[in-house]
Amino acid sequence: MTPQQRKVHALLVPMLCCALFVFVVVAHRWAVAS
Amino acid sequence: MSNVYRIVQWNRHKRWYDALAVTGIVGFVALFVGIGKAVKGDAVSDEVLIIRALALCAFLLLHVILCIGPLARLCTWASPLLYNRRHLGVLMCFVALAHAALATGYYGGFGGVFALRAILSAGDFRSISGFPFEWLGLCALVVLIVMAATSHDFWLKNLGAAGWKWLHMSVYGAYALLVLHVALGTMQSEPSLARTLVLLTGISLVGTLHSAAAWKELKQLRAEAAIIATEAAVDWADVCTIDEITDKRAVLVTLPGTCKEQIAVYKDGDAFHALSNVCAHQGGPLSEGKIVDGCVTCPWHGYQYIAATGASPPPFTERVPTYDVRVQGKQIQVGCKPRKARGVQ
Repeated sequence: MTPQQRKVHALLVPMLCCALFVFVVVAHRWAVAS
Repeated sequence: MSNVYRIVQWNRHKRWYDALAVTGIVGFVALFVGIGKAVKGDAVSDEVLIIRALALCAFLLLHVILCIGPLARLCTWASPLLYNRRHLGVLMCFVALAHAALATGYYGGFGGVFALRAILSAGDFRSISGFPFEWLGLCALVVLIVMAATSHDFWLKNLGAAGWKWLHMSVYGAYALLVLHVALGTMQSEPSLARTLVLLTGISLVGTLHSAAAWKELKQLRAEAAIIATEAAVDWADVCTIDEITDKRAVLVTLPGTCKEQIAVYKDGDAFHALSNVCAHQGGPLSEGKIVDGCVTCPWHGYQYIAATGASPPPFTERVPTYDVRVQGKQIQVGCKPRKARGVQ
């Protein structure tokens, strides 16, 4: 892996997972509310 | 490993791995359908149960695939799982394709292309509950198919290791699309707290493992930076004591100086050998491999190098740089310049 690819693994993947986590929580609340 | 072109060859372990994976997938689908029939009876048709079983199976496999990389960086026991990760990815693509084909056929009345067009044209992009989530699944499937089609070493060689890796890191994009596919699809049509919690657990697992692996690498880099600061001008760098290396295994050391070359220092009986940590095949971490049949073996795809010379055993032609090693008392030290650079090799 190149240094840039290591950075993507180290930073972007955890950030992506955080964003997905929040989205799923919000989507669940939408589903329950509607 | 080949002297013609670099192909990953079949062996007994790979056949066992694939047979086990296929058996696991078939068993999972059968178990899911069986339990579904027992719990829900005739309320849900067999076709819907199979569609859901395939979807869950593909999604679970994707989580396993995404967790293998960081797990292998955190624990040495997980390294063998890297060996056939691409085979698992291709199998997962087939399972996802089967899910998509069956769902399109079933919900589109088995109308072929027209069914797909009808499904994709339904829904409203401005609505949450009516969002055409099928588009998200289709886009993810296209990414997975492209990755499966380019998973062979032929593409690795022609695209180059860095380009091929960039292409295959789009798996994270596919993962995001599939999470949205579930969140805007089945979660909206059939809200379930248990399903949401399972999905959140999966996302947390992937995120946590990647963060932990990154944290471990950062700590390692900081420790090595401290060593570099104190040993910047020396010809020999301390590695560790002879008791700290397990036989047939290696420790990783970063050389002082501006290049910060990473070296795998192996113990083979009473002898110590130092090689570049970067495998000539796909840049795999040789320090996470082990000595098999007298050869340092890369944990990713099994490429092998003679520990003393860094050359692959004949007739193969790959080679990695090697370094001098000496033992001072109980302290192992490695030479800061590769043998090739000094004209030894």
